Amino acid sequence: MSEAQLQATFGLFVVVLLSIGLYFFFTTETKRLSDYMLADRDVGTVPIAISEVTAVASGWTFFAWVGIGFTVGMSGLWFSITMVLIVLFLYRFVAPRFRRTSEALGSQTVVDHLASTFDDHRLGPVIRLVGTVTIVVFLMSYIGAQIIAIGEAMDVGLGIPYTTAILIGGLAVAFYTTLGGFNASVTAHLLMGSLVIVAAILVPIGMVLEIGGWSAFVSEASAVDPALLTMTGGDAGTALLIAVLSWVTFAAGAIGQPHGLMRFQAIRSERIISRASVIAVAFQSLRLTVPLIMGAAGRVLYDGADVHHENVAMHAIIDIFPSWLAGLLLAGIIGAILSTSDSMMIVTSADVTRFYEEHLNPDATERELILFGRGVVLAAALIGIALAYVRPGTIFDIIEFAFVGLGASLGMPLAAVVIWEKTTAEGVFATIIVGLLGSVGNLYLFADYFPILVWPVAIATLVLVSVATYDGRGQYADERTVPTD
Amino acid sequence: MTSLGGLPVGTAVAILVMVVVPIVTYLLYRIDHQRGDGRVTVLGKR
Repeated sequence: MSEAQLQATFGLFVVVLLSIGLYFFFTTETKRLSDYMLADRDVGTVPIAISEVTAVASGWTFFAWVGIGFTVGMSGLWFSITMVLIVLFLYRFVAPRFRRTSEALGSQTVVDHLASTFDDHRLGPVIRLVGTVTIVVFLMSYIGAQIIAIGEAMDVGLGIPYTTAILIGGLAVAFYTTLGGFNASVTAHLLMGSLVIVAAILVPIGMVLEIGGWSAFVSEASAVDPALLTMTGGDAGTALLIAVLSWVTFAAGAIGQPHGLMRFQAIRSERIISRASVIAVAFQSLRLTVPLIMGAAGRVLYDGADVHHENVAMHAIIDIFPSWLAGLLLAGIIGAILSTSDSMMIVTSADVTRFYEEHLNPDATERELILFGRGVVLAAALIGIALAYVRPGTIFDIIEFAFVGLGASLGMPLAAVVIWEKTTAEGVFATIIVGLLGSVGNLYLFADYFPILVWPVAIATLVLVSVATYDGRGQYADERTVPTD
Repeated sequence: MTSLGGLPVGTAVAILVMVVVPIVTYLLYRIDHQRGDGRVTVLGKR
């Protein structure tokens, strides 16, 4: 296989991405911050659904999740089932009212929505402050993990040295996002999402065929590790209970990934949310199931070989497919990672910019805000590249920490604000703090039980504080935040 | 005990759930579509 051919295919893909950024920079009249951040709330069904999934699909689909399939096997499906049900819940219970109230409030992100909901409350500004800090802590970690994955993919797949790869990947995504904003992000996601679907179908089929077919795969995987294809992962009793709870509580983070939820704010109309949910749920089901099979197949193909478990899909693509197809599939996979990175950069930028606008420079013009927002995207990319260079953990470790932290500290309060009218500013503020500190505390003090402990503490905080401070007048009392249809 | 292409029963059921949830989502969408303009009308909150 020609490494040059692979690099050429991927290089072409990067050129297309940069062109998307340039296209929207020169053709879109980005005069307002909401144009840059939310594409003027005018994104259609297919782009929003594909983009919503691709925004969170990230390095974990073809790296971390394949690595889980390789190491613990199909028991990862506990996570998959929980997450796909949460995604369905989000579309049907949270998205419609979130879309409507977001437009009424003029909110652009999850943190912005929480702060704007309690705009008249003394804690409104503080919610924005702690929310923005939370976004920066967790999303910067997350961006770092994505750029590690980009580096690994380009290193293993294309033969580009890791350090060079994280520079190229990090700067490429920063470039097209900085120029094109949310419009470029959604358009790039459509392209990447399509390639991810192709990869998610072709790669496992290729791997299973390489082993000798489905029956050979099942028997050989069971021979390598009898627990690999089971839902118990070889555990029993208390160990099994802890393992299942770990998967379920990890997946609970799906309730609040700000870079995914932002899509609900940008969707053209509440009327297309149900339709978009069909595409999103089907895509999620595919990408949460197939990588586990790829990982288990990789265990058969590469057991004992000098292959890192999170890089199995990359090796399989190069070993099994012709170079032109391998280049395209690698582009899709690296594209999925880029797409998560750009979404996170957009959210980080939006929240930091809103904080800047509200508290540091209230007189800033729209043009200045857009420029500031673009600067934050670039800064986020550079910090992510630095984190990827240091490599503080495996891709899975970092993603798990950030995913749970974002869900507990921001996603749960957002869902509560949208569907439970007794949610108070005090409850939201306390939950953000507890979610942030609880995630860090659970990880470092009770690592064996991460992320099981953070959820009951965060849920109890939200409910108890809200009930204790509820004055009979919920946040929707003045109807301002819930416009009628 | 095995089923569905030799996979253990629990794993086969889990994969089946992953297939059924998108189908249920589609059926819910069809109900929403038939009842009006496509907004969520059942098993959800507007």
